[in-house]
Amino acid sequence: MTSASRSGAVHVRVAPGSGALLRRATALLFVDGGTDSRAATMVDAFLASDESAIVEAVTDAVTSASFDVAPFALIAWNSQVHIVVFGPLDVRTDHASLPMLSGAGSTTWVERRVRPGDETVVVEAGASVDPATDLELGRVAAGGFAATFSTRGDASSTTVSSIAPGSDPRPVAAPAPVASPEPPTPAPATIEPVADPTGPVSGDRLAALRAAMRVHDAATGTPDVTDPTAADAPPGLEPVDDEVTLAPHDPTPDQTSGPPTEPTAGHASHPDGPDELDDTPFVLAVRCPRGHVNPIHVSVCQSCGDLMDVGAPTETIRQPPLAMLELPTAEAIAVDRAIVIGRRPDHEAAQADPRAQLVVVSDDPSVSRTHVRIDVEDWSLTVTDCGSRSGTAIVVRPGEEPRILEPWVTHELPVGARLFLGGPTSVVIRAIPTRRGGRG
Amino acid sequence: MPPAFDEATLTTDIASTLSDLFAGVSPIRSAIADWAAGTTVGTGRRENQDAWGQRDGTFVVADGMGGRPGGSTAAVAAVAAALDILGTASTLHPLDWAGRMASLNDAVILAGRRAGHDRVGAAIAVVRCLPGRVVISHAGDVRIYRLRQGEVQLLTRDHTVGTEINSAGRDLDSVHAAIGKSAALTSFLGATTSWQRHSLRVLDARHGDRLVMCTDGVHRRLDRGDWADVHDATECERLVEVLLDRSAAAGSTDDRTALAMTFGSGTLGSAA
Repeated sequence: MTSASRSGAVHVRVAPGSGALLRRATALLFVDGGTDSRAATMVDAFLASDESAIVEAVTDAVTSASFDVAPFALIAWNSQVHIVVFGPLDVRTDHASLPMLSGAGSTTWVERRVRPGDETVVVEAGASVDPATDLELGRVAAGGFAATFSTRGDASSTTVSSIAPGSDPRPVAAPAPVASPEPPTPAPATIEPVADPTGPVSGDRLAALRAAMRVHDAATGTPDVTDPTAADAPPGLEPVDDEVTLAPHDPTPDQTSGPPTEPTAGHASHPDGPDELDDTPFVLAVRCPRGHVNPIHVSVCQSCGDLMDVGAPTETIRQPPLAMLELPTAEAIAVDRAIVIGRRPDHEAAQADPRAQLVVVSDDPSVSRTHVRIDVEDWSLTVTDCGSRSGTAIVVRPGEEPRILEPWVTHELPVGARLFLGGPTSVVIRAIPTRRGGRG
Repeated sequence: MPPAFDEATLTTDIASTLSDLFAGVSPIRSAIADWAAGTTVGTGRRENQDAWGQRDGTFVVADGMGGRPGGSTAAVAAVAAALDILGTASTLHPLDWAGRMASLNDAVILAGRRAGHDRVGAAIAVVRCLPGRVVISHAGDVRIYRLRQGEVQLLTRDHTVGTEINSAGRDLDSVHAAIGKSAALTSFLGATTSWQRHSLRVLDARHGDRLVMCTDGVHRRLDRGDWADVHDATECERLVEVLLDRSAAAGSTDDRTALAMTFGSGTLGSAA
C-alpha cells in the first residue's frame, strides 16, 4: 500500500448471511461463512494490526495458521484498492482491469491492486447486498458485501476514525439473520475476550460502535438496528446477542446470482476447491525458532534472519509460496506453482502443467501470447522462455546487463530478478516479507 | 516437463542468434579456482559402482545401479561418454541436449552389452561450465548442491518414485506402505526411454560459489549438521574428505563419491 491517502467516500453495503464482515477506517474483511476459529485467525489480525499494515498482518496470520483458515476477502484502500482473496470465493469489480478475482484453486491467497482514478469503483463478493445498509465501522454478520469507492467527497465517510489496535469494534445487537443457513458458532474459549470477535457484546461496546454503523432505510422504513431503541425487533426476526445482522429486505440470500466459476485471467480455478483433491506438492522443510518454514539446509532463516537450530527436525509440508511475482501494474501474485505469462497465455503452448496459473500482463505487442513460464521445483524457481517472438531477457541483479534466455532452456530464477518480455514490459520476482506456516 | 519440443516453436532469428553466440565457445577453465573429487567403495562390495570424471570445465559423477549387474561398467561408460558427448555441446537447446543424452544412453547400453550384460543402468549428474554461467543436467539421484555465502542449496530434484509421489501431492508414507520402492529411480541411463526425463538447467555462476556433486551413498547419510560443518572446509579437497568421512561415520555402506568445485579466478586442481 502506498502512504498517500485516498480521499473520497467509501460505502460498504452488507448482504445477509452467516459470515462476518468487519470494517476499519481503510480496510474491510469478509470471512465467508466463518465464525469459528478458522475465521478468528484473520479477524484477530485484522483488528489488532496497525491501520497501515492490515494486509501484511492478515496474510501473515494466514500463513501462521498453515492456510487452515476460512475463505476470506480483504479489501484495503488508500491511493489504490488492494484486494486479497483466499479460498473458493470470488470478488467482482466493475473496474475494467479486474472483472473478477478468485481464490479458487490457489493454495495461497491471491491479490490484485486497482487504481480507481476518477472513477467510482464497486468491489463486491458473496450474496446480493441490501442497498439500505452502510457499514462504517465495526463487525456484522454478513453473506457478502459491496464496497463503493468514490472520489467525490462525503462527510459521513471521511470523518470515520481509525480503530486503535486491540479495541473491540463490535457493533450493536440486531435482528437475527433469518436467511442465514447456519447459526453463528461461538468462538473457542481459548481466544482472549478482547480479541474474540464473536463473543457476547457488552452495552459499552455497543454504544461505542453505535455511531459507527449507520443503516439507511428511508425508503422502506426498516428500523436502524444500530439504534438501541430498536431493541424491539421487527416481527418475525429474532434478536441475537453476539452478532449484528442487518435486517434484510429479502431474507433469502441470492444464491443464484453468484459469480461465474470459470477461471479468471491469472488464476486457474480448481473445481473441487482447495480442500478437496489437494494435489499441491509436498516439500521437505525445517522451521526456525519463530516458526518460519525454510529449506532444510539453510543455517539462517530466510524470513527473519534468526539462526536455525541444527537439531531442528525436518518435516514435510505443502509447497509454500516462494516469492511474489510483481506485474507491470504493481499487482503481486504469490508464486507457489507454475505461472504462464503472456498476452493470452495458454497451458499447452507453454508445455505447462494444467494447474499452472495463467497471467495476462500486457497488450504490448512485443509480448507474445504465451511468452514465458515460471516453474516451482521444491524451493527453487526457474524460468523458461516459451519460444516467444521477441525473446526474454533476465536481469538477475540490479545493474547487471540483461541476458537473453535461450528458448525452452530452463534458467534459474532468483529472487530480485527482473524479466523483460520482449521489450519494455517486465515482471519482477520479489521476496515474501515473511514466510510462516506451510501446510502439512 | 516432458521434452516434447518442436523446432517449429522456435523463432528462427532467436535460434540463429543463439547459434552465433555459442559458436566457438570454449570452456571457462580459468573460472574454476579449485576442484577435487573422491570416491570409495562401499563396505563389503567387490567393485566401486560409482565413477567420476572431468575435462575442460565439464564435471561428471555417475552411480551404477546396484540392482542390475554391470553397475560399474555402466557408471564408467556414462562418465566417459558424457565427457565426450556433453562436454562439446555448442548449444543448450533442449533438442540438441536431448539428442546428446540419447547418444549418451546408447553408449551406456552398448558398453553393457560388450561386457555381457543385457541390462545396465546408471544415474548421472553433469556440470558444464560456460562463460558466466553453469549448466547442470542430471538423471536419477546423483545430486548437485550449491554452497553460496554460507548457505547450502540443493539444485537437483531426485528422479525417484518417492519424489514423484511428493510432487503429486500425495502422502509418501501411505503410498510407500502400499507399493514400496520409493527410492527406485524414474530416470536413468541404460534403458530405452528412461533417460528422457533428464533435467537441464542454467545457473548463474558467481565468484566464490561452490558446487558439490555426490552420489546417494553420500547424501542419504548426511544430516543438516553435517552440511553446516561443510562450510568450514575452505578447500575442495578437504570438503570432499569431510563428505566422504561423515557419510561413512553415519553408517553408509554404499559406494560413496563426491566432487566439489569452486568458482573464481584460478587454475584446475587435482583429484583427491
